[in-house]
Amino acid sequence: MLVALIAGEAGAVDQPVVGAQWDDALIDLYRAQRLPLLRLAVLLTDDPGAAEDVVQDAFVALQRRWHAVDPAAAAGYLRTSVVNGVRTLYRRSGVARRHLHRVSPEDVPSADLAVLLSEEQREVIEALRTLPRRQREVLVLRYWSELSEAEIAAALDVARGTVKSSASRGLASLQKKLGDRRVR
Amino acid sequence: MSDDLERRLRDSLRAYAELVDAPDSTAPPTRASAQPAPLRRWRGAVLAAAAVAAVITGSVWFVDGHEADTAGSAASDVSATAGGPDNDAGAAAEAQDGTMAAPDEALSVPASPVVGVAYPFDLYTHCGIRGAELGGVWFAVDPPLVEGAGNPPAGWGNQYQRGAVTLLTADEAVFRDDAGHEVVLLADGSARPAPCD
Repeated sequence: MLVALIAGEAGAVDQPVVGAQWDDALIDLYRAQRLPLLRLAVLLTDDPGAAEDVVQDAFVALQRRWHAVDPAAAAGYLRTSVVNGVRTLYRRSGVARRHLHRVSPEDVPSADLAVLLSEEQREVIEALRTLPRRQREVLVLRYWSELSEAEIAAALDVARGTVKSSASRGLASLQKKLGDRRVR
Repeated sequence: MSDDLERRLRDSLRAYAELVDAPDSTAPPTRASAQPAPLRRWRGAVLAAAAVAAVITGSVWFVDGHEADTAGSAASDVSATAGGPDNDAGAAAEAQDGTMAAPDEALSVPASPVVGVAYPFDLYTHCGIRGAELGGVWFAVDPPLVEGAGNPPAGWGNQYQRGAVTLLTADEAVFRDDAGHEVVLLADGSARPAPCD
C-alpha cells in the first residue's frame, strides 16, 4: 500500500512543488529504474508508447512528492504507480469508448514486439494476453519482477490470498491454453 | 503446477521484456506541474449553489468565509470514515441512485487525501462533468462530459452526483457511483472552468 511508503504525513497528496528540482538521488533512481519499469509496463500493456507515458507519469508523480517519500521505498512506489497507471490507461480508454463511441488515435495498437519472439515464447505471451487483467499482473510480477506474494499484494493493493488464487488460476489457464495449442 | 510451465513463462517474459530497448535519453521527464488553483472560484460556485438550495428548502446552515476552513470542515466528516479502500460502501451507500440536486453539505475529500482511499464525494455536475477539486488541486475530466449547452449527460444527477472518489496516484483519481458511472480525473494543471449559470 502506498500509504505505508510515505514518510511524514502518511499518504497525503502534497501541493505541487513549484520549481522543485531533480536531485542527484532522484536522477540516479530514474537512470536505474526507467528501463525495468518500462519493460514492466510493456509486459502489462503490450504497447511501448503507452508504457513510456505511464512510466514518465510515475516519475513525474514521484518527483512532485520526492521530499515526502522514503528513498528506500521509492522503487516500490514507482512500481505501484506503473501498475496503477496501466489500470488507469485501460479504464480511461473504456470510459472514453462508452461516452464518445469513436475511435481515437490512442486506440490504434502499436507494433507488436512479440512477433520478434521465438514461436514457443510467442505462444506463451499470447496465452498470457488472454488472461484477466489481475491474473496477468500477478504472473508478470511473480515471474518477471520476481516479487514475493507479499510484495505483489502490496503492489496491487490486494490480499495475499488474492495473489495466490490469481496466480493459481492464471497458471492453470496458461497450462490449458498452451496444452490446447499443442494438440491442434 | 509444473515447473516446466513456470520455466517457460519466465523465459518468455524475459525474452519479451528484453525486446524493449533502453531509452535514448537519460534525462528525467519534465512536465508542467499541476499548479495550485490561484482562485477558489469553482468551490465558491458549489457553495453558492448549495446555499441557494438551502434557502429554497428552508434549511439553515453556516459557511465559514474562509474557504480552506470550509473545505476542512466538510472533509472532516468524510475523513472520519476514511480508514481504507473499503470504506466507500458505507458512506456512499447513503444515496442509492447517486442523483441529487444540491446537498445540504457537499461531500468533499480531506485537505490531504490519501492515495487508495475511497472518499464519499459529491461531484459537481451542473455545467457538465468537468472535474473536481481534490486536496486543493484541480483534477480535470478529459474530455469533459457535457451535453447540449452545458448540462451533464443523461443519467447523471444535476447539480451533483454522489459517489466516491479515489486517488490512484498523486495526480490521478477516479470517481465512481452506484449508477455505474466511472470517470478518471487528472491533475494536469489545466485552468479551472469558470462557474456556469
